[in-house]
Amino acid sequence: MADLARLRALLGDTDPRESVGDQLPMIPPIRRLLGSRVRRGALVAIEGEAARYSLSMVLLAGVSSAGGWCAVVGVPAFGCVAAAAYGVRPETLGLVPQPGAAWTDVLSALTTGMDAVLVHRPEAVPGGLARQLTAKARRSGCTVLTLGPAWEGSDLRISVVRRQWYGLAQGGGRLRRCRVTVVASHRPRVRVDLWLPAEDGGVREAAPVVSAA
Amino acid sequence: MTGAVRTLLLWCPDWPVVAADIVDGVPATGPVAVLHANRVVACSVAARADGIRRGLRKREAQSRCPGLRVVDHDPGRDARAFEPVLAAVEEVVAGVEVLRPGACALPVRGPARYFGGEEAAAERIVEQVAQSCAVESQVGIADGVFAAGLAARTGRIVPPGETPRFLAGLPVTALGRPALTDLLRRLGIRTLGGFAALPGGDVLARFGFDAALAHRLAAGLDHRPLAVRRPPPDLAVTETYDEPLERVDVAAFAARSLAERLHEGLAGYGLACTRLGIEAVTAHGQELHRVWRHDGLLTPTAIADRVRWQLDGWLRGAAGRPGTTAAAVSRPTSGIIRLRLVPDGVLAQVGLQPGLWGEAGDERERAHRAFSRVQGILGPEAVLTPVLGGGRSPADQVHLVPWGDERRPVRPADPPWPGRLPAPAPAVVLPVPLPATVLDATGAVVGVSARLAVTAAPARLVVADGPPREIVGWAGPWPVDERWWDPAQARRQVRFQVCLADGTALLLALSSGRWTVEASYE
Repeated sequence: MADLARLRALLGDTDPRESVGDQLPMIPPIRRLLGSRVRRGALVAIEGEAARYSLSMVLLAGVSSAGGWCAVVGVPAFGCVAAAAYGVRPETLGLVPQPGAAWTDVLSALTTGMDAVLVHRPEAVPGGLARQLTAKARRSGCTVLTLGPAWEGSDLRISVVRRQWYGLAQGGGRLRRCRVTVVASHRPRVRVDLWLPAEDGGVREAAPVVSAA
Repeated sequence: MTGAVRTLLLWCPDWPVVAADIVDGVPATGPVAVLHANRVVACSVAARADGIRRGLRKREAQSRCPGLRVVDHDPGRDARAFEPVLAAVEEVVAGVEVLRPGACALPVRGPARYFGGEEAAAERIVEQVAQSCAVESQVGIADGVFAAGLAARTGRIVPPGETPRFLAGLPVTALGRPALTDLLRRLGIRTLGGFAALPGGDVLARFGFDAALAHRLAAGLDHRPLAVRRPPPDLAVTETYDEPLERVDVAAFAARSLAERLHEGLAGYGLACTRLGIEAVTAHGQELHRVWRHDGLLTPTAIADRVRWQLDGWLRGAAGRPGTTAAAVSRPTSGIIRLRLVPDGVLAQVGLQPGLWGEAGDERERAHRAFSRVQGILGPEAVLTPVLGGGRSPADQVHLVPWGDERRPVRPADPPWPGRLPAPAPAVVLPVPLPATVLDATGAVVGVSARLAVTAAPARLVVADGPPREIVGWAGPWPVDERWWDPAQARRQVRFQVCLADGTALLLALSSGRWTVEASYE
């Protein structure tokens, strides 16, 4: 019976009118956060400073573990070991750490061939340019994840509102895992608690009730 | 008995030295050594008399023979100079295969009948090479290319059926596989006969594919009998060019993509080729053809190299010695308009299977094109792909290789890396560590003694010129003393993990009194 209830919950979350092939592949806890309406080719803004790299890696991991190709543009500090632990496959990952002034050309070239691109611009991107770049990505089904100021026309914005590291004491222990609470702009009432990262470096869903730890 | 093809092998001793003589005019009669990566790869007779050997360092070679002329190794030059020799051999016999610059092989049955005996055929070929190119050569005849190559070292003709016995007496070094040879010697196996006596199945299981090939060679079974199946005809790749290729660099570029296509086609069938036919058609309708042979398995780069060498030989023209008839025998009169690569000696290769997920197919093709376009915009070094390997710091564990290069980790992941940071790994790894200062509660800089004791508990962190931030948790110091044997790479530091009041966790390093932020756990 419990299985049946879970199956119902799963079906209730899915709109039968949308084909599954158009959905952005996500890992289950992120799907619970974002729902099933997010398509391939969406523009997703990752906001805030807290755990933004980890959050972007988890989103890339969903695409990558479904066999997709990912590129990371303008993020020289991208921690590849952590990304691999989250589930991003290094064989299908390309890094363009220094796109320089030609970043728009680089981005539009990559959106034609990748399934997801993570791009970081420290300054705000003009609205017209953002629309132009994302229209192309939308056509070819390439999801664009942005770090830094949210681009105009973002389909959704997600951010980490709370985070707490466990395992470190005053002069002892080591960083073991971090509990974060993630929210998305289009479903403000849904909050998901994650171990990001969990003890093995991966990602787990945390029990929603916060204990005193 | 063995089924191996009766083979004649023509070998030009010290070919790199002779090639340097032909192309660059370095007299091969004097003491000459050809070096690659500071090691001698070939030397002339005069140099050998002075004690120069393969594998010597440059300085040692020069101290043994002060008058030594040193030439850089250039496979392209070797191949180019060998072209007229091949043309000369082809004037008298058909079906010549290049093994490497300086050696070529042919089935001896036809020529032996035509010239009236194997010895007569060998004499005729050596004479032909000497007359038209003024190059000295030796011939060996045996069953199979491998045995013929060894026979050529001593200029022997091994009678039919005697090849296994001939091979049995030779040392295992003749296999030309140093790692395997070393292993065999430590196992007490010193001759090819001893190696051949091992059960073939066990050799394959214990030493792998390459050793199994070597085992067949040692037993006098040329590995060509392995190629039981003919490749499907569509494996050959052809490209037609609107603009005739006249320059070597342009042709080499064309060769690269063609080589990749050939390799992908082969890998798709789980095959690898041991011989490669290169065919070219020039704008004037001349047809050029050459077969290259390789002992192991050809990788895309190896295929591209051979095609480039061959095109180099054809396009820059066979620079034969002045006064010989070979000077312009095979030089095409115009540019190349069509190139065709034909795989031959194809055998099943289990080690080359493409990956199960996404390695081959449309997505890969699409992604590859996108990355190549970015490389076109920013340069080949701008698109990197991570290869995870071993190492102690988060930066060491990742080796970034330009897209399209071979994915090979610099440090093996297998051996233990004591002092390696435990999982989870930091999500932000700064390419250049940020300078920082760690202060204790009184405002003094925190240090670490030689006995790894912290002078005071860290209380505040100042990154670059930013405001001081409170440290709520810390652990360390964890010492790292790496590569102390190499002053250029040595690293001696201690690491700390700290947690700040705003929830950020950082990895700090302290080295010679300077604090830096290496990575952030966010």
